Amino acid sequence: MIDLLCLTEKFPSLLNSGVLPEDIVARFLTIIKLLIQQDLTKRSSGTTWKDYIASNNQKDVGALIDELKKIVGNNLISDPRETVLFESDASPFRGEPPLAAFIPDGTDDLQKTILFCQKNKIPVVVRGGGTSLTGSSVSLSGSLVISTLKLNRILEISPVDRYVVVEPGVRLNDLNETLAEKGYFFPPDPGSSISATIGGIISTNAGGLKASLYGTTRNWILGLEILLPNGETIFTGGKVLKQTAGYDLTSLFIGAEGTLGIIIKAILKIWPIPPKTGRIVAFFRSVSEAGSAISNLKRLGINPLIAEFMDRTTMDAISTEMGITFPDQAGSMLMVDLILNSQKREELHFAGNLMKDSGAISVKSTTSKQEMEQMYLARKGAYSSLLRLRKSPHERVIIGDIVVPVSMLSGALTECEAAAREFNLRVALFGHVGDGNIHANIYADPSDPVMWERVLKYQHRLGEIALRSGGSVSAEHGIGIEKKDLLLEEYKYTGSLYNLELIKGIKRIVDPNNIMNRGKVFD
Amino acid sequence: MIDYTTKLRKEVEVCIECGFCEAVCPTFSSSGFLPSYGARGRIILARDLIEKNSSPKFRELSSSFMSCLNCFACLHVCPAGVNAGAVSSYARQLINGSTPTKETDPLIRMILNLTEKFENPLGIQRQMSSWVDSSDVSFSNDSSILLYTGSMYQITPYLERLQRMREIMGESLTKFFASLIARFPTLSLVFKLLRDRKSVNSYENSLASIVKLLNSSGVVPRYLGASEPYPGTLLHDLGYSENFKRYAERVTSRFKDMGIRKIITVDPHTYDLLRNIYPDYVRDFNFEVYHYLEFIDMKQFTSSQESIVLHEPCHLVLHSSSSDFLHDVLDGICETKYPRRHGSRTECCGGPDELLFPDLSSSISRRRLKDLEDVGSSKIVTACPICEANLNLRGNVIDLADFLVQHHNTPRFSTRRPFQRK
Repeated sequence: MIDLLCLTEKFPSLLNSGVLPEDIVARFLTIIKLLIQQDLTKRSSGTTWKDYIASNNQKDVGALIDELKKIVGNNLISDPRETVLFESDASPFRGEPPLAAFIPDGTDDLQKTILFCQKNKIPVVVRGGGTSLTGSSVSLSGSLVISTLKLNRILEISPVDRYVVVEPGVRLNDLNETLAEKGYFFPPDPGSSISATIGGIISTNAGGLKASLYGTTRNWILGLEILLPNGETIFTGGKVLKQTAGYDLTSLFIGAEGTLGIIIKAILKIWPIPPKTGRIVAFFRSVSEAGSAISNLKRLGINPLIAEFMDRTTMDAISTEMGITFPDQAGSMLMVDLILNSQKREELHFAGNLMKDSGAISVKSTTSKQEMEQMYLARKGAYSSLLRLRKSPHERVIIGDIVVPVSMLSGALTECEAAAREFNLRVALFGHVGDGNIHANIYADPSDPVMWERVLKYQHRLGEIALRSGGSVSAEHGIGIEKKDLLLEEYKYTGSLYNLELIKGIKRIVDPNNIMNRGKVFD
Repeated sequence: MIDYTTKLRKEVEVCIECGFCEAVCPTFSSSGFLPSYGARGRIILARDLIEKNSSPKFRELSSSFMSCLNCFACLHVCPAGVNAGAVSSYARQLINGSTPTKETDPLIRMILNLTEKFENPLGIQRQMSSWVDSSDVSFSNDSSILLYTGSMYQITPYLERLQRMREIMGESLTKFFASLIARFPTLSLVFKLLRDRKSVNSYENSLASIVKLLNSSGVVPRYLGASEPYPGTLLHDLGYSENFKRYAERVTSRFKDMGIRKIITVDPHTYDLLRNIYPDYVRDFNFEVYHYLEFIDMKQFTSSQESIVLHEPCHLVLHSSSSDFLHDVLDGICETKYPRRHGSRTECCGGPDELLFPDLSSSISRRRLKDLEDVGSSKIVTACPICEANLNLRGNVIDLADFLVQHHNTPRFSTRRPFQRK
């Protein structure tokens, strides 16, 4: 046996002379290795060598691609120079080389494709805009990446019933531009809305600025059409606001990050665009005071349309990059938008005064569209400004994403700031604090192991802060690869480790061969 | 020489691969969402190009970079400030850079050879000044202000006809003829036969409108006529930086010898090339470069109830820090409407891909035209001959200069002498 192992190691160099064709050598080596390493009882049960290799997931890649091409035709991409581009998304995680990518232009071939993957145990990674910040959309080794970008039709808009039916590849901004022509909008608005697709935002339960008033994507999905890994297509929910028809299967697929099936259609709830809004910008000496101000606002029944926060580091970055100036003594800034129910600006005055009472050193409010736009420039340019202040080409800005109850914001923000100092990390805080969502933007070089260790510890600490405050380790970016450990921590902290068993049980029933986005969300 | 590897590295190393650029990249969607034809994919591939610059296999990647329209839509949405258009441009210079080889596309070889030999990419330099003969416009040989047409208006109808011939002949026959002309440049006289009188008249009329408007604004520039050289746009756009540098120096020295100080350009590509690219290649390129709209007297037009859709050319709006003159001139003349993608989100007409990726170009043009038509006005106005050629599939696109002439407050403000067959 040892001699055979030596042979498999030395054989390639012996055959490098080119006497035998490379594929024959490769097949021969595979058989020898299987003979040595695998369970030989299968061979004795009468299977052929070909079956044996296939059953061990060693099927010839070329043959698999040829078979897939027969199913999907020219919509299959197998050139490695092309497929390598599916290995990354907006996260710092790098995926593995996929087998191929499939960009369907309709759903007809999808079922056959998924059944083929099921039969051959080929992992499937569904991908929309590729904007995941936690690595959910990076390819897996030997996987078939299914891009939904051609499935981008808006199928039906019903202002009367307030829903829209869309395919998964519709980009969020495109949807809202179409809806705006009819006076409606779809409220979830993640920062990546220009590129993020409906399928992606459902799969990560995205939030954004307006989640403060409207909630996250979960609150806006009425129904789904899903292709399951066993080839079955299911319809969940419907076109109505009320439906109590058994288990809420729609919710099962929201935030599932493509681990359970492929969303092929979605019925989304839409809402009239607010007629009139006003904007307040307030500056505070500390992050804690800004947190208290939001809490006070909510306590008195004011529910902002958006409530954005940023710390001094973020303001300094904006000053450097955009030339916008901020008060010298300001340690934090709040930008609050309110829907105005009357032509008078009473709500705006009331909220502005409340900011002052909460310790604001400067408050400005307006209902002028132009002035509102000017004020928004700073918030809009925050992440860009932070990115442009990276100290080395390898440095990235890792966006931490936690959520706490609004009443706990003041303490949580202070703790996030202190922890950055403790771990000696350059961190800028901003967030959609109207719903308690804090983004800690960490400057870090992932190729520096010492620094990366500190980043992981800081991320872990952020998770602890969130959990201690009664929040969650992930607000709107999902779990992906990045937060699998933190998800486990959350289950442990809340005494609900059995949740993991339940999730794994559901996964086993829906996807027994574990082909859908394997290794994402949980191991 | 410019260090393209360093320039490329500086651009790609700050990319965070967020993919915002893909959402606005015209070639990405029109290629069927192939990542190598999208802005993010080009940046990732450029990283490999830097690492393995000498590897011949990266020549195979060139279609990724060559297909980029250089519209810069990506730059305007990138949170990290990366310009994937510039990335493609630098990558082309790295891959091509010097004299073409036998493997180079025959069409490219033909264009390079004809430009260097005749100072015109189709070798039809004499045809470039024929528009003056029938135009009622004034020039002054004493002026230090040069009207530099860059041949774009004049050459566009020939390129349109060439494209149609190409469709009829097929790719292999086209490339056979192109390689023959590349080898024997004098054979380019066949291109004179491509003259479509109606189309040539239309573009020449636009050129005459531009000069007539300048004249009526008090500007009487100098014009080089038949000796005006092509600016070398294609040499640069195709990535032959060494050829382009030599050629640009040749053009510049011509201007210097004539004592030119100010240059008025008439199309967005020449305007962008002279303002933003020439200074990188030519030492002491210290001319003042303007777009003709910057000289137009706004008071000479009458207002109307007409409603138009404006297609803003990317080389004017996305490549320049200020292009207000494009919008200012229309203020008060008509109701200007815009398609969904406009301003800093304007979408390219697909024209720059017409030579090497005709199908891709056509797909982009058709989509853009649909967006423009969806706005609901019967007239589409643009200010670029390439945009006009690519979008005017149904005869509803008009050049801005012609539109302005139609709204001139002088009755019968004519730009052309009556056409006379010679």
